[in-house]
Amino acid sequence: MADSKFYRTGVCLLVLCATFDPGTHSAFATNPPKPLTRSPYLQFASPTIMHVAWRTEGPIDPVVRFGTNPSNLNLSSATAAIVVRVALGTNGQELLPPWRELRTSENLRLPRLHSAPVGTFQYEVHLTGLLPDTRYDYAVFDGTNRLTPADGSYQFTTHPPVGTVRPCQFWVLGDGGTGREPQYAVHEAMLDTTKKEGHPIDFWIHAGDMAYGTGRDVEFQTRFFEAYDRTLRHKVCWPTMGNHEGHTSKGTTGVGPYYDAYIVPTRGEVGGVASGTEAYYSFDYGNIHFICLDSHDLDRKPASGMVKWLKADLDKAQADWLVAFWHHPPYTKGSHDSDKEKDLTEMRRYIMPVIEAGGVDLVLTGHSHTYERSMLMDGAYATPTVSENVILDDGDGDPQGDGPYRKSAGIHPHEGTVQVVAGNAGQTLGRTGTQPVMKRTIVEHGSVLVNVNGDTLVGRMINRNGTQRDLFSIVKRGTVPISRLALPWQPPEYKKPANEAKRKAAVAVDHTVIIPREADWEYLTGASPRGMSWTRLNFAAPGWKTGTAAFGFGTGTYRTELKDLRRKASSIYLRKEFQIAQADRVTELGLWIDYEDGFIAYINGREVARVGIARSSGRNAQGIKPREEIGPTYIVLKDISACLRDGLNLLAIEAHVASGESLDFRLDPSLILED
Amino acid sequence: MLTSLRLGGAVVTIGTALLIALIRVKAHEGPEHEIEELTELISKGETADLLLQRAIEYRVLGRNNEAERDLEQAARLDPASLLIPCELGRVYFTLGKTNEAVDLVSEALKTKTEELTTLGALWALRAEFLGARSENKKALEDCEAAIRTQLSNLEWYLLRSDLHRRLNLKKERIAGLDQGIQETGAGILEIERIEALLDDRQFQAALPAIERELRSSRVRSSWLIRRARARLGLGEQESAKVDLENALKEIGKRTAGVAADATLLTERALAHELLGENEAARAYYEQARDGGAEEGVQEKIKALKADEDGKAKK
Ligand SMILES: [Fe+2]
Repeated sequence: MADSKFYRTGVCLLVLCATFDPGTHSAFATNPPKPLTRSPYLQFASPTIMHVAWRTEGPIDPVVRFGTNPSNLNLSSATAAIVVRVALGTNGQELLPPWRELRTSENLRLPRLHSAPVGTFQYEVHLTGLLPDTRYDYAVFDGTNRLTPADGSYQFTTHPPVGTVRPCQFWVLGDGGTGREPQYAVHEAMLDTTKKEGHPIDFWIHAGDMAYGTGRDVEFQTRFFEAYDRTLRHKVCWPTMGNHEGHTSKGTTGVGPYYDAYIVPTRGEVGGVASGTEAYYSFDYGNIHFICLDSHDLDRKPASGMVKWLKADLDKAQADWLVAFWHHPPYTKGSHDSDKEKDLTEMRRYIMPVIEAGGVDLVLTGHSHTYERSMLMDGAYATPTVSENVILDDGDGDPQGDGPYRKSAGIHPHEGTVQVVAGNAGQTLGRTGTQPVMKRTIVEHGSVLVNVNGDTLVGRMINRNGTQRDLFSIVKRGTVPISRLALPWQPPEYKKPANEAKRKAAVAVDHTVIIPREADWEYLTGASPRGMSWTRLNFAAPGWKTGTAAFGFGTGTYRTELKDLRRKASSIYLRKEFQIAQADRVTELGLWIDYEDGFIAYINGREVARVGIARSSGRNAQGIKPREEIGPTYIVLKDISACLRDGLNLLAIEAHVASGESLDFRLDPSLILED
Repeated sequence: MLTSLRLGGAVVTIGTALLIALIRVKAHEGPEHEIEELTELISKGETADLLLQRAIEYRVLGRNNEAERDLEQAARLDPASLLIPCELGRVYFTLGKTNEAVDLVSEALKTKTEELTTLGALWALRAEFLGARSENKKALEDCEAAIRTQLSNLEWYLLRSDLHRRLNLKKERIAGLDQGIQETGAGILEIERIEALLDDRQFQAALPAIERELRSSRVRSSWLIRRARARLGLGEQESAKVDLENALKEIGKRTAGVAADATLLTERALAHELLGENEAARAYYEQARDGGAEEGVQEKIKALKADEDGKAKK
C-alpha cells in the first residue's frame, strides 16, 4: 500500500477568493475522494459477469467487496482476475521522487495507460460466477480501508438470463462530453424523469463524442467520468467511439484513452459472435441483441473485417429485438449532412444494407448535434437520400397519434428500421436542412430513453428540462405485410435563419478560478517592452507597476484607471504568476475576459490566444479591429499542454485599442481552470 | 493562501504521433464549418496539428487533394510524427499514388520509436499498399512484422490470410489463422479458417465446424454454401445441389424488392457458380462489385467471362 503522502491535492490554487460567476453551477461536479482519482464505475456485464474499474494515484491493495445484502458485503474479489494498468512516465523523463520510486521492474511490466497523468494506477476487477438478474451492493477497498462510502449508490444488477422477456429501459445519448452546462442538464433531466416515473434505467449507451475536443485522458476524466459519475457507478455504459475520441484513440490498433477507459466483450462472452476487438462488439440483454460498430476509423466496405463480423453476428442473432449503434448517422441534416460526408454516406451505402437484411429494428447514432427520428424505413441507400419507396409507414409511430410502427414477430429482413440521431446531449446544436426520412427534427438538448417490454419498444426524447418531446413505438406481433410508400409524408422545408447569432464558448461546469477578477498584476503602459522576454517567468521588470484589475478608461469602472492614455494609441501589458500542481491533470485553461479592442495572451512565452489583432504584436501589432460586442467573454487557451508546467507559470497579456481616437479602453481578465 | 505546491508528477511526454494536444471544445458544426474555423486558426499560426485536423475534415468531404496538401505541409512541420505518414499514405493511396504511399511509409518506418503499435500500423499499411501492387511476398513480410508488434490485432491476421491465399500458401494460411484465433478469439478468423480448409481441399476437416455453425445459425445461406463446397469436393453432388438451392431460396427471400447488400450478392453469385449457372453468377458478381465488394470479385467476373467466351467459341 502506498504511503498517504503520495496523495496530492490535484491542482493547487494561488487564489480562491473569486468574484467570478459565469452563471454555471459547479455543485454538479463530483471529484472522488483521495486516493481515488477516478471513481469506481461499471463495465462489461452479463448474467454472471460484472467489471468494476477505478483509478488511484499511486498503487493500492485493490479489493472489491460485494453482496446481495448491503449491510453484509460477504463476497470478495480475492480470487477475481484484476487487470492493473499504469502511467509511470517515459524513459528518460524527469520525475519527482514518489513517481520515480514507482518505476520498479515489477510495475514496468504492467500494461501501460496511453496518456494518463503520471502515477495513475487503473484497476479493472473482473467479477464472475454472479447470479443473473440480481442486485449486488459493492465497495472498493485498499486492503481493509474502505474507499467508497456506504451510501447505497455503489451497486449493480446483473443481466437477466439471455432470452428472458422482461421490461428493460436504457438511456441513449451522444455528443455530450463538453463539460458545459447543457451536458449536466441533460443528465439531470434523465435522472429526474426516471426517478419521477419510478423506473430507473438498466444500462446506457453512449453514441460517441464523450470527451471533446480530442478524447485526451484528462478530457475523459472531467467531461465524461466526473460528469456522469453518479450514473457510471451503478449502471453500465456501453460505448462507441466518436470522431473526437478518434483524434487520440485508434480503432485499427485498439490503443488510446478511449480504449483505456472502457472494457467491452471481445470473445462473445455476452452473446453474439466474438469480435476479437474492442472497436466493435455485441451483447445480449434479455430478449434484445445489441451491436456496436466503429464508424470512425475502420473500413466499412463489404470485404472488411468489421462487415464480415457484422454479417456473421446478425446471421446468428436469435433475440426478439435487434438494436445497432455507432457514431456517424446514415441519415441526418443536423449539424452534419449525410448527403455530403463520406463517413456518413459510407455507413448508409455499405452498412445499412447488411443491417436491414439482418432484420435490425432500431439504429442509434450521434455526431449530428440535434435530435432526429425517422419514420419506419427500409432500403434507403442512395445519395442523396430520398423518401420515395423507402418509407414503410409514414405515421408518427405514437400509439396516441397515428399508431405504433408494426413489424412481424421475430426477426425478418427488410421489415423496417427506425433511425434515431441522438447527438443532442451537450454540444452546441445545429441544423443544415431537411432530411426527408425524418418524422421529427428537434433542435434541443436532450437524450433518449428506450423501453422494451415484450413485443413493444418505445423510444422517447426527453429534453434538458425533462419535457418529453417525442415518442415513437414499434410493435412486433403476428405477421405484418410490407408495402413501400411511393409518395410518403414530407417534412416541412427547413429555412436557415438569415441572421444566426454567433455562439459564444461557455465555461466548464467543473472549474476553478486560478486568477480572479480584481487581482493584482504587474503592468506597463505608455511604452512597449522590447522583445518577448516579458511574457516569461524570471523577467526583471523595471518601469513596470503593480495595479489591480480592471484596467482602462471610459465607460465602466476601473480599479486602475488609465486616464493618461485617453485619445492615444493605447496599449497595456500585464504579467501574473500562477501555480499548477500537476500540468498533466489540466483539461482546459481559459480566460474570462472583458477587453477593448484586441488582445494577445501568452503562457510561459507561448502565444495561447489572439483576439481582434490580425498580425504581429507589441508596438508592431497590426489589423486591430474595434470590438463590437460588450461585456466579458470566455476564450479557451490553445496549446496549453505544450507550455504549461508543474509549479510556477506565467500568464502575460497585451491589449491594444483599434485607433488613437478611442474613448474606451478596457482589460479585465481572469484565468479559469477546468480540472 | 498557498496550498501544496508540487509534490510529484511531471508532464507526460507522449509521442507526438498519437497525441494532438490542441484543445478545441468549440462547436463542431459540420466539416465545412470546421474547415472555416481551422483555416482561420491556421492563418494566425500554422501547426502540424491544425493542418492534420483540417486534412481529416477535407477527407470527410472527399476533398483528397486538399487533404494531401495539408498533410504534406504537416509532415514538413512535424517530421517526427508517425501519425501524419499514416494519414498521408492513406490519402496518396486513395488518389492512386501507390508508389508515393509506399515510399512515404518506408521512410516513416525508419523512425526509432517506442510506439510499437503505431509502427505496426505502418507495417500493415505498407503491406496493404504492396498487396495492391501485387507484390504479395513483400507485403507478407510487412504483415508478419505488423503482427509481431501487436499479436492481438485481428485485422492483420485477416490481411495475412488474404496474402497467403494470393501466394497459394495454403498450409501457412491455416496455421496463421490458428495463431490469430488463439490470440484474439475472433469469430471471423474461425470463418476464415473454414474457408482456408475448403481452399486447401480439406473437406472432411471443414465439415464438423460447418455443421456446428448450421445448427446455431438463424440465417443459414453462407453455411449451406460452404457445406455444398465441401460436399462437392467429396463428390456428393446431389446433396450439394440441395444445399445450394436452399441457400438461394433463403437469399431470394431476404433480397426481395430491395437493393441487396454486396455480401449477400456475392453469396448468391457463388451459389449459382457452384451450380454451374455461370451467367447468373456473373450477373450477381457484377452487382456485388457495384455495391462495393472487392475481394476476389473482379477476378471471378473475369474468369466467368472467359469461360462464357470459350463456350461461345466452341
Ligand atoms: Fe462527432
